[in-house]
Amino acid sequence: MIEFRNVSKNYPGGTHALDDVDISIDKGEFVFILGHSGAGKSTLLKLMLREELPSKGSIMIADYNLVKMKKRQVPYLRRELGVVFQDFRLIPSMTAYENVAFAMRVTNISSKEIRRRVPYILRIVGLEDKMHVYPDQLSGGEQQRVALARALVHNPKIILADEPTGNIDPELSLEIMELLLEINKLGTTVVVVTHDVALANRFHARTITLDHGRVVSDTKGKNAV
Amino acid sequence: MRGSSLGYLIKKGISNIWLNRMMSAASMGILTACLIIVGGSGLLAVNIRDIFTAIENQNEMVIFIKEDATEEDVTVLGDKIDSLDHVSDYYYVSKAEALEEQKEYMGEKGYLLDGLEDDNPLPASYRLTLSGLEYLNETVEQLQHYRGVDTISAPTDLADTLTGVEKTALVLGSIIIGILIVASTVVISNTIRLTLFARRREINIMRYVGATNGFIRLPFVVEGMTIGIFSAVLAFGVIWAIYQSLGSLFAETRISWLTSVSNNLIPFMNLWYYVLGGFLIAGILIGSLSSSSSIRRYLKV
Ligand SMILES: Nc1ncnc2c1ncn2[C@@H]1O[C@H](COP(=O)(O)OP(=O)(O)OP(=O)(O)O)[C@@H](O)[C@H]1O
Ligand SMILES: [Mg+2]
Repeated sequence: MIEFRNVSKNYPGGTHALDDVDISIDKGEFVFILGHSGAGKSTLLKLMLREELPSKGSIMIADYNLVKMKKRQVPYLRRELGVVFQDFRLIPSMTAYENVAFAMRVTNISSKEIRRRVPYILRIVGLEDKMHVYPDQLSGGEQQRVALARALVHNPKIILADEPTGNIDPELSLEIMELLLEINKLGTTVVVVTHDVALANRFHARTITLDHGRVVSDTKGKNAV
Repeated sequence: MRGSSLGYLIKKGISNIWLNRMMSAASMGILTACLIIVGGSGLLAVNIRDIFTAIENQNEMVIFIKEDATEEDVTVLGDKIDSLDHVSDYYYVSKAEALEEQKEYMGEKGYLLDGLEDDNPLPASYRLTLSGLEYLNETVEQLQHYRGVDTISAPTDLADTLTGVEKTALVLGSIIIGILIVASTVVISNTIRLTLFARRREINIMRYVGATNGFIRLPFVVEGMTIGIFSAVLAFGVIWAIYQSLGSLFAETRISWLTSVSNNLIPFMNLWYYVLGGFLIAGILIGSLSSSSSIRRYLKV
């Protein structure tokens, strides 16, 4: 599903953000990416989203070759990926419902399908009571659930989450993680970037640790401590 | 793209105008002003053109022939005139014909000229009609040194003035129009850039959820085009009002040449579709070009 081969990424100015990274993630896996600040975690996600191109190596996601693909194919790759950010990135002038519907509207989906799917997805993330509430009236955890609903609405093959719990209270963080795990059980591949080692360890999932742009450990599921 | 999506994106574009109403109003103001100035100059130009054409239709010259010219001189001159490109029509008027013409012109008093047949003071002449006023001077130069030519009567000063005015107006007009187009493009680009800034979160999300570039761009192009259309309609209304009221103002004055100008003004009813069409095309082009150029710079798409 996700295949990094000898991937290096140098930013202009001489930062070596990633150095010869090999990662292979199968369909249906749940993976944590751990590492200190500046280790290259977000860079890894940016490469998957094809916001950046690798300086070296090759990346395959689903059936897309990210290095060779045409620019106008990028939107279609991104519809296979659902992204969640630490800062939620909701549009403040839109309700929870509208925020999710927006993601569908701008990808040429019929109004009928939008009306059917948005409430369904909001129910999955447990926000059926707050559909018509604006983001500033929602807690951090609830806002992140709206963002997650937005990421899920295209029925993506992969969910990418960059520090999804970074701005949320610890108890609510656990809820979000449980939700991601449930989504994973339904068949979606989930990649969660975090530097919260303790949180990652509670879930006994595969954990890839980055340090200075290199993979320093890759522990399979139950072996994690 | 499905209809409901298109409708949504167009609605978005129009709401962009409202989101940014101060700058949108400023853009429309400047574009309207530009269109009015350009359109006004255009209308002035076609009217002047019209008057010029009327004058040019009288672009005749008369070559008077000396008393002592031989028949050969007259024939040589006639052949030369015949060979000139810009002479659309010419004919010879003999002394006798000139006298006859003069008698007719004097009407009842024509009898006064009776008896002059043998001592006719009127010269023979060639009468020429040129294909354009601008050829007047060169034709005079080409013919004045021929043997038998006495004087040439032609409105050369008028020709110089009119041709000069036309040329100057053309150059000045192009410069002004160029400056105005650049100015409106800059102002509209800035307006669109402000909207882009105000909508940056949405654009960011659109990119992450896989909206195509067309979808991201369209609302902003709609915004620019709508500004263009509004400005065109507004400018059209203003131009119409000015044209009509200037016309009736001229008609009512006591200044006789203004009254005659107003009589010769091309009626707006014969021009309005050119004006509106031109304004709409210019407005839509300027609006959509300036928006797509600022989107390209902002999004790097
Ligand atoms: N656009 C960029 N231009 C130049 N350097 C960059 C850019 N983005 C990231 N970097 C650098 O690349 C390195 C890795 O950054 P990255 O954002 O991947 O780290 P991270 O692991 O996500 O850190 P954090 O936990 O703080 O989010 C850092 O040294 C960073 O300064
Ligand atoms: Mg990061």
